Amino acid sequence: MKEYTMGKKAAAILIHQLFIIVMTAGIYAVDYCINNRLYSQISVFTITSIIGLACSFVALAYLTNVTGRKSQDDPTIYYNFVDKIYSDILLVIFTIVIVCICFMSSKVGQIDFSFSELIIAVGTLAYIMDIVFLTFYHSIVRKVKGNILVTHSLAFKIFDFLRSLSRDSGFHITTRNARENKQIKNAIEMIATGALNTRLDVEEFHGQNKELAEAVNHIRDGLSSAVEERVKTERMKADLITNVSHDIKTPLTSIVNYVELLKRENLQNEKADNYIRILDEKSQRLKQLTEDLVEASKISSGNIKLDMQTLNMVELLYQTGGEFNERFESRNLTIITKLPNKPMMVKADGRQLYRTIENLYINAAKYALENTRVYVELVENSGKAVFTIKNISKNELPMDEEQANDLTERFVRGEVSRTTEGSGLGLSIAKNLTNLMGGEFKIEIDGDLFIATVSYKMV
Amino acid sequence: MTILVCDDEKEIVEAIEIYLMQEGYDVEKAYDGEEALAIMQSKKIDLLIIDVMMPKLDGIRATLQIRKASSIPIIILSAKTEDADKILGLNVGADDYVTKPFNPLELVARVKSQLRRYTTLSNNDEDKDTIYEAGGLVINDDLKKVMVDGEEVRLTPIEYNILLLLMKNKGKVYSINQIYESIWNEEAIGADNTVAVHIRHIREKIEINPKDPRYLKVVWGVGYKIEESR
Repeated sequence: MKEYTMGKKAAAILIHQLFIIVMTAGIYAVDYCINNRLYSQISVFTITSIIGLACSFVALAYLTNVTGRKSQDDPTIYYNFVDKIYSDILLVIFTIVIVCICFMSSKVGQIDFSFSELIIAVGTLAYIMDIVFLTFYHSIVRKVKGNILVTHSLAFKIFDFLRSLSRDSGFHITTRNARENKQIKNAIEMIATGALNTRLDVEEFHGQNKELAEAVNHIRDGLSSAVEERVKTERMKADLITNVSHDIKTPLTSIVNYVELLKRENLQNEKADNYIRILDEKSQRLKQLTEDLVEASKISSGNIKLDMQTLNMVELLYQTGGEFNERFESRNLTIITKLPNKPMMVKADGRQLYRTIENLYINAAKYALENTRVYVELVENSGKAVFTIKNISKNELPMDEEQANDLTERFVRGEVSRTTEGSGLGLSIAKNLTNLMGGEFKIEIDGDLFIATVSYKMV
Repeated sequence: MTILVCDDEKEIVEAIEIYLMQEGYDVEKAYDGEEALAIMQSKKIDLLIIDVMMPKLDGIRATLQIRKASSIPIIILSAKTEDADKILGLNVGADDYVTKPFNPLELVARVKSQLRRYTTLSNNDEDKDTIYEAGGLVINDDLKKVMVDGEEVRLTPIEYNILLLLMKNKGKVYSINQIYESIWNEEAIGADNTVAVHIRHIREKIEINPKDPRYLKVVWGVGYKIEESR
């Protein structure tokens, strides 16, 4: 640790003063030589004063660095009694003293000294002037280091005092009011966009604005607890559905197993065989229903992990087509596929994107009118990969927009009867999955024409 | 061959017992994990079917215990269908994971497959150059034969060539165009569903449950690959 002791500082000051005196004396000596035509001596005194200047500068640089500090490792600035004087007052004192000294030195210039007398007089004046300069200079340096040069001044104190006086004046209230209004407005806008962690510090507001700020905070609290409650109930609902479906699965396993055993019994009874067939179908449907139910509730509560990858939607549609061709054929549906020749890359979870498309294919395979065509298309539209599937519905579809949207709500289907296969969750699952992955899902209905659109931003 | 069936639902155990007995297996029954452990110690068991959620000792912990001493095939039965549950089951040492409600015929097929793999594994030391293996799936390119768990599967020439391509480069994902170009030897211009349909047919032939394939996996939006299954 390098200490800046008083001794070191004093030595530096002495060295500085010594060389200042040397320099000043040198200058005056040169002047004297010129006046008395002693040209051979000029160069000696010139060099002397330059050395004096250089050395005093080195000492001053060291002093600038160490003043106000006690050691290299201690960043604290220590002030002395001079620093208690306000910066501006100090400046005035300094100016007055310097003017006085300058006046005195001009008088000295008029007296006709001998060479040695001149050197002594000039040296003394330089010494006094340097003491005054160092005192002022060091005080300024310390204040700059401590970052109080401006604040520790009479002018600033007066300004501060005036400002505190004006705090309750009319002009100030208007600006304060405007500022607080703006803060409240900003907070309301933030809350409106869903930033429910926005909170106003009521203590910062005055008068009516204080009440307003409190009210805004109340609204925020109410909203955020409502949202929290909502998320909690959604999660609880998902958990409940998962647990109940686990409980349903155990007896269902027995039913499926024993129905299968009954099938093997070879009852030789047409009626019984028919009953078993119905039992078989319905137990399979119940199985599908419990699985879809768990999926739908998990997806709608956002309780699902996504593995987002860059993938080719064209490839995915060929793959999906390969899974479905026979299912469409069995209902005499012709599938007409129009896909682009180039890859269309999107960002999605491949398995979930397949499930979305799969659900739309299943929907078409189930509800399209027999002996009609199903159109599948993928096009690029303003930077988006847009997939559409169109089919003619075998059942009557709802006419108005709102009911059309109901098709994607859980358990609602385009038909009144609920006796056919499926759980009515397919479109709901497809829509929620698409939204979760940042895509857009749309259902349009035009008479018997059913159009589903899924679009993703291309990457 | 003796199979131990363990589930706290008595009727399920009994139904499984009937199916397995019809296939000629001997069946031991247990109704919780502790009973299963006791039977494992007193009798020679060739395969274990065990439920997860059971009183006293659950299927996961029972499997962990059994794995300390035995390497017999274990099939976990569970109502939990999440990937995380499946991964947990396979990580503690189970060989297969079947979700409830299961198709009994599929369960029997999985039992057979596990037993065949367990008994016939590592005794074919033929010419390695023309034999490609992924778990229980084996292709012998000399004889143009495809075996799944020791049983021959009949594929059409195109199906065979697609499967061979994927087996030769296990783990590599091939897009529909890549498969088309290397099998048909012509450029794929606006390919159709042909390759995808063939792939589905292969899956239906080599997989017990084509919807949950063990070998021929679909990487949606990227392509197809053969994966070394557990």
